[in-house]
Amino acid sequence: MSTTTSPALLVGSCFVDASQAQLHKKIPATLRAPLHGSNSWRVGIPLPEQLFMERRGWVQPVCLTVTTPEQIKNDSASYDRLFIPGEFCRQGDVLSAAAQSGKTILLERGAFLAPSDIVRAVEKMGEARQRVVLVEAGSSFGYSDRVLDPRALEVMMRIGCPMALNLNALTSAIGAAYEHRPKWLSDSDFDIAFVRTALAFNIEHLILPTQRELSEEAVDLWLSARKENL
Amino acid sequence: MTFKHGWTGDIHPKLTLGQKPLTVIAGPCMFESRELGFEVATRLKTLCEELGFNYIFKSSYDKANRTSGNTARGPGLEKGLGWLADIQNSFQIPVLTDVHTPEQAREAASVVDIVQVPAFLCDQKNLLKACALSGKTIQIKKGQHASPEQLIACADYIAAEGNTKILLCERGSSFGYNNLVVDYRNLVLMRRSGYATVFDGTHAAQLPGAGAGQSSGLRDMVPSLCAAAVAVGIDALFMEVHTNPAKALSDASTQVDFTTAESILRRIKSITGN
Repeated sequence: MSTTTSPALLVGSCFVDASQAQLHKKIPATLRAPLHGSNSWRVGIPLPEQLFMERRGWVQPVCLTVTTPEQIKNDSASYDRLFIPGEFCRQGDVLSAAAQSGKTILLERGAFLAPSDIVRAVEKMGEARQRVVLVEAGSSFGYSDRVLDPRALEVMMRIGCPMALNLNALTSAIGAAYEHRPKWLSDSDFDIAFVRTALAFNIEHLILPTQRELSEEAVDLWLSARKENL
Repeated sequence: MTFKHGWTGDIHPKLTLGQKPLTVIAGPCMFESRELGFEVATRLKTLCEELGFNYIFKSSYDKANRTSGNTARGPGLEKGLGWLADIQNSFQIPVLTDVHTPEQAREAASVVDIVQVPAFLCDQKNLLKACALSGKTIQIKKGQHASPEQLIACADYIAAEGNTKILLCERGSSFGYNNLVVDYRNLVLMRRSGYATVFDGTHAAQLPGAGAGQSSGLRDMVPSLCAAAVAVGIDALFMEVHTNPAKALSDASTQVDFTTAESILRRIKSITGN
């Protein structure tokens, strides 16, 4: 994956699912995982470093999810790209360390942040903004729900960075303790709609769901539309 | 009165949360200077004693998540903690500050009485664990994106690490872009959980990012927001107070001056009866 032209799928999020990584071995993919699953609501077994390095052998490159400047500095041998979760998109020290890493940076817009305000985070990167891929993961829409606002895509694209769409965040249950969630929320039935939206906006990269397979139909749609770039 | 897991509300030898009177957590948003901190602490301690409120001083040594990178962040960890210790010792009052990394949690806990987890970071487990292991009282701000149940689950996570001295703080929920609303049902749910419940009246009045590169806000709404929270029922009121809010280096649109702070405290006294 480059920051300019070549589209790709990003596999994995907080934890790596082996079957999904295998599924996408046949296509260009980036392994996305943290060494420390610090904000996961799932049973929290951080991916052991040994396993992480082992999996590097068959899914490359590796995109590391980071939440502190120390992780960026200390784990630099473990990754090729950096992913900054939306909750950290305004943390000046994390952004500064990422900028100094020299690596490609996937910067996710926080669900609480107005799309026009992500440009402030990009500005905090200084010259490194040339290596930033902006990740759209939806906007807060009441508790435990997100919506994908096409206006947000339009506003973010005007910043001039390549874009990624985070299907994992858009279709995962948020806030496991919230008991009043309507049944239709976080439904994988919307995969196709999201992939079509990404294609319509010429978004370069998709981040895949981690706890389930993206439907074959959605994968085929993406790959057929993008095959000339793969 | 005890809170969840039997915590008695003891924060400081001179302050136990939950006993009447209401506790007020207040101070400047950013610890701009030692002089500012001392002036605010002097005025608010005197005012709270006169009106019969408990008082905790708050201020931030590092505003690490400002909207823009071109704005001031504060004195930094070492100097800021030194000033907080000076206020703690000079006034014999508890002090609170916010932390953004596990390392900061450990260092800040060597000085302050309450470590605060910022709203954006409310479900960062490494940070919550470090705060829990510090042994100090922990205030968790509810993320603008988070449900009250999500916040309560974070508190349960801390309690499972063996620290039950926990305050839950409501500060508003995202309501479209650049806007927050306070859902007062959350205060009911948070208090029903058994954890101590705090309302942040000045951040709840923010309009995040609405000021073209900085947060804007509705300062004139702060008194009513605070009064409503006290009426619903809380264990402490949090607000940011500055000698000259219009000149403040952060949150200039929502911090209140001494006159407004006094007006707010007199108004809520008429509600609580003290």
